[in-house]
Amino acid sequence: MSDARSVHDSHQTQRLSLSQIETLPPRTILEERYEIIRIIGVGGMGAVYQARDLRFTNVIKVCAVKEMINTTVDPRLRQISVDNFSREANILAALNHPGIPQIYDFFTSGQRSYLVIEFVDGHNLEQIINTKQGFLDETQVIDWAIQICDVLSYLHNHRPQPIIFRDLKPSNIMVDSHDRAMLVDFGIAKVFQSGEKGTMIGTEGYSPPEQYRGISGPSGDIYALGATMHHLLTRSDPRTEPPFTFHERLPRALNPKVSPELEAIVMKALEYEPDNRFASAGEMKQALLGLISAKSTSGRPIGTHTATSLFRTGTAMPQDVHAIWEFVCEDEVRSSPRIHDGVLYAGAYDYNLYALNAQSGELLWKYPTDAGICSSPAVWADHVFFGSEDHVFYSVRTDNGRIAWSHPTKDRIRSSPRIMFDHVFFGADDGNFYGLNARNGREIWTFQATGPIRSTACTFEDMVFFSCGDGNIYALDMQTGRVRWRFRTNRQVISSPVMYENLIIVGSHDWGVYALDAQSGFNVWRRRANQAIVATPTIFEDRVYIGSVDKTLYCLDAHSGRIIWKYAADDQITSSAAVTEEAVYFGCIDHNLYKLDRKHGELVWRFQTGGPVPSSPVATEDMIYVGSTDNRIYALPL
Amino acid sequence: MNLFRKLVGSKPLHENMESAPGRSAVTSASSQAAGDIFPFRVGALTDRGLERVRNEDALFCMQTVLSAESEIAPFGIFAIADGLGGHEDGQIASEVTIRAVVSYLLQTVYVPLAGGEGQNAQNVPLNESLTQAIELANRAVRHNTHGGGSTLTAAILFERTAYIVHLGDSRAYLIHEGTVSQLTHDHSLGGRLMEIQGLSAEEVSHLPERHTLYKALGQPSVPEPDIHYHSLTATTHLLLCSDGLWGFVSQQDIRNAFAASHDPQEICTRLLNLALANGSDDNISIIVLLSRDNQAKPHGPRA
Repeated sequence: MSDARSVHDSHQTQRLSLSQIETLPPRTILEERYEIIRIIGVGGMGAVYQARDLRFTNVIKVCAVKEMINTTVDPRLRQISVDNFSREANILAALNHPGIPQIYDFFTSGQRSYLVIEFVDGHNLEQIINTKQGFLDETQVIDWAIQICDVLSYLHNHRPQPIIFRDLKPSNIMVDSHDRAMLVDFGIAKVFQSGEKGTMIGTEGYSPPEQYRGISGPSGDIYALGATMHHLLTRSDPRTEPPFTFHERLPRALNPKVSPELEAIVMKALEYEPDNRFASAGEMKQALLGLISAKSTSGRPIGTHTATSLFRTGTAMPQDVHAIWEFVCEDEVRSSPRIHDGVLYAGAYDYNLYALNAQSGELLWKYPTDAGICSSPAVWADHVFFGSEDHVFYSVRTDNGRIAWSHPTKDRIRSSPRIMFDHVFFGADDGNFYGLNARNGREIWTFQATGPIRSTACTFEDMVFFSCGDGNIYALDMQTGRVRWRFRTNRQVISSPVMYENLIIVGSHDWGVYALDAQSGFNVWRRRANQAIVATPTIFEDRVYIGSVDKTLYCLDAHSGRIIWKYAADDQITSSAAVTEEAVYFGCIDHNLYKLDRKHGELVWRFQTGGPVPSSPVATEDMIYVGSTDNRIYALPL
Repeated sequence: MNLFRKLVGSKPLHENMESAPGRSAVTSASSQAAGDIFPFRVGALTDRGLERVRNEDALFCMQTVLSAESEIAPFGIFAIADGLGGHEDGQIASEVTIRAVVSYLLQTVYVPLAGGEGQNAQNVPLNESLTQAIELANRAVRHNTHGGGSTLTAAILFERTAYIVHLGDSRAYLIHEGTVSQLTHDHSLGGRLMEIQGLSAEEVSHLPERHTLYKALGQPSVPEPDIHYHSLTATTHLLLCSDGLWGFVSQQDIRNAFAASHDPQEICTRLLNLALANGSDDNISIIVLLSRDNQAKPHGPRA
């Protein structure tokens, strides 16, 4: 197998600027036959000219003259370069294909060598990408790729020795006025890079990984074609990205208009293992042709996408969904239910805490308090714990709904309790954060903050964290109730903090989602929404799901806060999302419970209730439960 | 230094001196286990090596504790930069990188922490601080050199959480109960080939282009650093080094060095000598953070 070039050009180390070399001025005549008209371009090793072949006296026969300036000082190396050049020229002279410019002549004159080739009146693909605004049309890219596959097939099947192009990239593909694609620059005399330590950047981008190990074969050209197509479809230049990261930048993620079938073809060509790519250029061409015929028979392009890749809106046709049961209370249900051992516990504004059979919705018992319950209960050791707006915190037995103990506070309780190490922690509107013995309700310590506490605490090791209406996030020592640190946001915080690895993540009324280092309270990252965050974030598999008053549900990367996707609902989102492997569920003030696909944020269905849904849904293995201000608790299939 | 004294007063604390680039060793206080409030003991060195004309590495070490009623967790900044480029560009690049990053982090992270106003939303979040610091360093390298560049591998410690910010092919390692794990990706062609094709370091060591960096400070567009964090237990140690070390010692060698001594400076010296004996042809910089809880009992060196 011989390569179309035997040595590599190094664009970085050997670039000659126009001032360094003397280009041939117009009207120069070479070999008494070729008259230089103008410079078309400057390549790595010399200029390319448009010239006229004077042998044809009656017409203007235009050709291209490629110049190679050999500046190697060592005469022995220079001879080798010249020999290589003539060897390549002879191979090219033997080629005959519409996608390869014809070679007419070659000669050496002093320190320069020349190749006279067919003049291609057009632009190369790099120029075309740079001048075009927006994405190229998929059909166009497929058409060019098919033509290039054809040329590669021809080269790879060449006898006696297959020819590997080895430098396929957009600047080496020209397209003329008839949309004919041609491979140009068969790589005349390139010099090996010295491999000096610490050279910065300069990876070729389109080259396959094995090429760096000196392995070169037809599958390398296929990889380079895949890389070229990737660039054409996505406008993402592989030379400016970390090497070999095409799989992290899938075409459809950058350009949603690309059809899945075309993406599959491009990514197969880009497989890192040569054996996993197309076995031949012919096979790749067949695959591409298959796309074209599919398009023409169905009459419309495959896989059109109207949504942008980041932003989803609720315009898709949702599936139909029906409730399995609904339970009617006497007033609004503003808090999330808790499911434990097949029993659903929920508080309502009708003053009651309800215990229902989770499967059937049948009432087991209810416990009346003296004011509305707007927080969620916690269940532990056969007791259910909850606070009421009647200022009292209750512990009630789960088997019969009888009271075990109660603890008074000085104001309404609107936060949900957290139980850890036999302690129950909760805050009240009186600004106090309580640590009680969960078995008997005795106070272990109380901490005084300077605003109402409406959030649920979270715990980690020996610390307990909660947010407060005074705008602070507090970290207290769980044993003593003393402050370890506090973090002040610019407005009140209603959202509850949640733990992710070593971070505390919480939203604030100041529009921010904050991630704080749990040990020190230092802000690691933050992400701003366009309105207040009232909801508590939900963490699932390295992602943070959080809704905002700006009507958007955000999916953020938990490490960095980067937005992965966002979904626009029709009204404010004040509650937390319930997240499963497949889906994200959340309630919205627009009366709906939404189900979105977790990975991409696309709408699966919307369920309409009779009133705003300010509370968070709860998911079990097969059901999703939510309460609404239409006084009902709903159970829906997952 | 003055700032630190002003905050803490003249109470004698076991502190580590700031290391200027080019100095060959860093003094570390001779504290023993009892009463030591630093979670780590620090050793560091930088050496021109056998073949280079200049030392183009730069490093910085700082570990602080503010002990008071409302305790501030121990905090530290440790960084290594390896410069590249013709003439003096390498030296300049690594020095301006360290200075830009460290001064920015001190201003935006340490001073608010030490200043005692408490954490609040006005503070720059750490991620943004790190990204900004990188941007400033990138600009400084471009401004002060002709195409020079630098790597940066830094660890910012909040008590027992290490935030690593990384660009280039210097490395950070975690050593935990005899296991050595590399925390950072090499942003070099060689590193990438090893990642995607499972090539061994040996196979890659023959490629002339293996050290070509695709991400470093000094690039025309600001490179995006790798930022991640690790919880360090009481028996976890950290090692930062330039490729003059990791290119010439194995993970086994690192493991042995940590097992053989409970003095972080001695570990640095052992690793340096090993790299030199193995023919290291580059500058060598090493920072060792030895977990305090593991210092009393050295194990014998493993074969």
